[in-house]
Amino acid sequence: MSPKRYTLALLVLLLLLLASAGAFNRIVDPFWYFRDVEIRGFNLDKPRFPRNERLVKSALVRKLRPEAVILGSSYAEVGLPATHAGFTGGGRLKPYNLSVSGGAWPEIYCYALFALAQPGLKRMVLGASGSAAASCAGYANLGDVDYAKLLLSQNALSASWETVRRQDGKPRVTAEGMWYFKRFEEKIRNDEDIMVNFANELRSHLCKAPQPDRGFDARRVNRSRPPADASTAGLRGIVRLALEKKVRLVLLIYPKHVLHYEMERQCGELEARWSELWNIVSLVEEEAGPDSPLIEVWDFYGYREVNAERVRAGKPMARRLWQDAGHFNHEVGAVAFDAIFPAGRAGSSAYGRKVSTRDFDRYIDDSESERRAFLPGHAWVQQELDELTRRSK
Amino acid sequence: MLFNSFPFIFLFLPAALLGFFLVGRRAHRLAAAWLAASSIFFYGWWNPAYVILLLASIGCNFAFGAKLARLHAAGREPRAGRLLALAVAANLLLLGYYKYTNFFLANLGKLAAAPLAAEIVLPLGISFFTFTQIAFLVDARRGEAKEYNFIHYCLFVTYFPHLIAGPILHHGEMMPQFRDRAVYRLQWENIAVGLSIFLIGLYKKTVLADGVAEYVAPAFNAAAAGAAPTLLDAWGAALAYTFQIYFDFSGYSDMAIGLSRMFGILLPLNFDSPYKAASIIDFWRRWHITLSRFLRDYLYFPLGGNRKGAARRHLNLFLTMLIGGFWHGAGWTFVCWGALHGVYLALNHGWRSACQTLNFEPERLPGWRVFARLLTFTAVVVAWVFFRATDFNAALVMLKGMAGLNGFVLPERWLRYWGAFGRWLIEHGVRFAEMSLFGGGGQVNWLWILLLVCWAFPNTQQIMAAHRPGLVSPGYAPVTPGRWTWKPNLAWLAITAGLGIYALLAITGFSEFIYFQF
Repeated sequence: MSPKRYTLALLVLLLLLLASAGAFNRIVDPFWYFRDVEIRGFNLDKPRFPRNERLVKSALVRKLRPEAVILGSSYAEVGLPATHAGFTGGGRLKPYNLSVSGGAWPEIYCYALFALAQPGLKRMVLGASGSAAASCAGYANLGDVDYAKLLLSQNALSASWETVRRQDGKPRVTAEGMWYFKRFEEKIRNDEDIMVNFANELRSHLCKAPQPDRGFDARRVNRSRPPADASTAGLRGIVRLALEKKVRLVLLIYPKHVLHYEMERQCGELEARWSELWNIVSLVEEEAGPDSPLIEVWDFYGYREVNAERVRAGKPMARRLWQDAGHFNHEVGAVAFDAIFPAGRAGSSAYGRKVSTRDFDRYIDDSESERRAFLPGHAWVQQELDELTRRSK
Repeated sequence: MLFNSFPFIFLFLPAALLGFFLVGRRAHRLAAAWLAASSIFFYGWWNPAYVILLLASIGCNFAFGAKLARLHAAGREPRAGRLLALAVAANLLLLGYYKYTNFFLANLGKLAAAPLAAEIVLPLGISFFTFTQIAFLVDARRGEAKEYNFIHYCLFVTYFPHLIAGPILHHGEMMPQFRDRAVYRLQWENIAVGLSIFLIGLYKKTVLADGVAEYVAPAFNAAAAGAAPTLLDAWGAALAYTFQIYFDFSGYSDMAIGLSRMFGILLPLNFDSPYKAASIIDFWRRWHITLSRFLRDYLYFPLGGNRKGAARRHLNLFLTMLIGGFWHGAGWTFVCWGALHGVYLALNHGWRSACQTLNFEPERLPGWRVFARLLTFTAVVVAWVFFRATDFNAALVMLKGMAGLNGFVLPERWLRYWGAFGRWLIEHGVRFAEMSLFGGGGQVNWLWILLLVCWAFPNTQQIMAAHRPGLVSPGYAPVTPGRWTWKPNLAWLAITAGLGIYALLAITGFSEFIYFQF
């Protein structure tokens, strides 16, 4: 072969291979960005979307222009249904779940600023998990699309291949950005596997010596005014921007499983939880006024059935409300949304509470009473907690 | 603009090549100017403001060089000496200002207990174009620089394949090529060879170096943050970095050599399977060859080299490596890396002298070569820890980990596969735990495969040996063909296309070359 023929053949081969890879990725659309070829049994399920969501979610927000956005960590991504009738105003508002799994507060903060800057946004549910401002220098490209990564990358190619191969009808993610996480994973077969999930989730919250009889002293809840410094500047900025853009902003304190709440209490972290809630609520009232129609704080703490699904309930993973002590499924989120956005099923949910500083003490008292009434009839809580404590260690 | 980016590969390179050969048909000087202008555009893509600095540096050095040559020709050596000192000082001042100001301020600040810093952005490639031009000035003063064509000089300094991260060129090997009319004619062999070398280099960078890179940061960052990486964490990260920097830099050098070859211009070879070295002396004949050559010719020899006795030779070696380390980066860790290699080299020379004196030939011992290669490799890995660590303490923490002083833990996941063996290990005191700083089986696979590539595979120039892939510097080993020799045939077409498409699809965003920072 002459060098000329070799060179031309090499160039043509490379360009052909590259174009084929690009075309294949464009058609399969494994990251659900283009959304124009959707064929059941070929590419409708997107198994690799969750791992690559940071590549496309913000770009999709810019492209799809949703009017109702959910934002938070995996708790929000797994548990809050963007298509909820109340949240979408009976289907009037185009929704999207912009949450990113593993998103810590600094990232969520930058995503929130980005989402609030988009035109047409009318409401936002933000899973509140911090209040400080962060540098968004690393997030300057939010909303941009990197076509090379979507079309001409190994990652896209292997994702396309996996997409085509794994059209098994098991939902993994919805078009509106909600993730099913481990809900339909085959390897989670029984209570034992779910117990492992719970143990893993609680491991980071575990203290050395949980005390089952540890009390809770409401007087130790810090009720001072939130500082006007860098530690709260992030949340203040988000609230101000929402007010300025006239976006209804719901700061949602994620529901947790009662086993999680009990672990918090027995490890002496409950006071800190209530202090943090006070901090958020009083900060919002400082910025937006006490009865702002635009900015609300909702908390879903509570010892009630929706938060108290037994681990050893003998139910398959797919039919559960909770995947672990922190990740609730969209059925729980729907009940929470029924409470926040009651338009769809008016007054159908007494779950959760819109929190204000005015009734903060009553809220704590009510919660304590609820716990006292709940636990005697649910002896399994302490049994499962003991088991989890053993395993988590 | 990075070599490993789509705009470079699909826009800049074809345009530069096409323009060069089209213009080259009519006027060689114009084609050289086109290539110099393309190179300046390539440099300006990163930060247009520094193009002025680059051009000013070129203009001043060319003027200094021409004057030095005239003074030398007129026999006015003392004046030439003074002018050379002034010119070199100006270059070093420029380099010092951009590269070392903050280092000195930070150290002053430590002494004064007040943080000091200046906002200075390091111009890309400044270390490289400064060294290149200092060599030119020295040779002009000696009367060894023969050509004073400004366009060729400008091209010699700015030539985009080498501008950012070397190889460090010598005017003596470049200017004659720019003068050669044959260079300006399209030769398909050059394109075929150059493209193949470029794709091999791209594969080394985007697949191998970037692939193993993810295993480096966790342990090094943890050490910097005050954590104590265990034996496996520390060795895993140190080895990963050892391979990352090699495939990153040698990949870049291959790309530079390949790109240049497409233009018909040969660049000096820069790597020769350095991890196959069986001694540190051998290592430095294989690693960043053009830097070693520069340091030898313009630092070690002027310091006296080996002409003033064994003790002075060791001191000169140590000083040369110390300065070489400082050239790499403005930080004590780089100084330490250089000093360590200086000590290694002095010990190596001492050992050789002792062997000669005692008439002892260790190479004859069975297994000696394997032992020597392993020892050399280990010494190099240990030194890389200083090179990569963010500060001196972090390097020491990593080294403690590598020495086993931070404990030994195995990944919990491995217990699942090891069954009875795992239980036996636990019974004998081995601890299994979740390891966040070690990548488990994936990392182990990366490391042994890359070690195999380094030790058992031929390097790029061996593969391309039949087609003169680059210039061999005087005093360095000639290229010997490897087991596989590239030929323009179907088999190599398939291999190169396979490597190429894999490498192109591995270009995912911004992945700088490690040597860009130097």
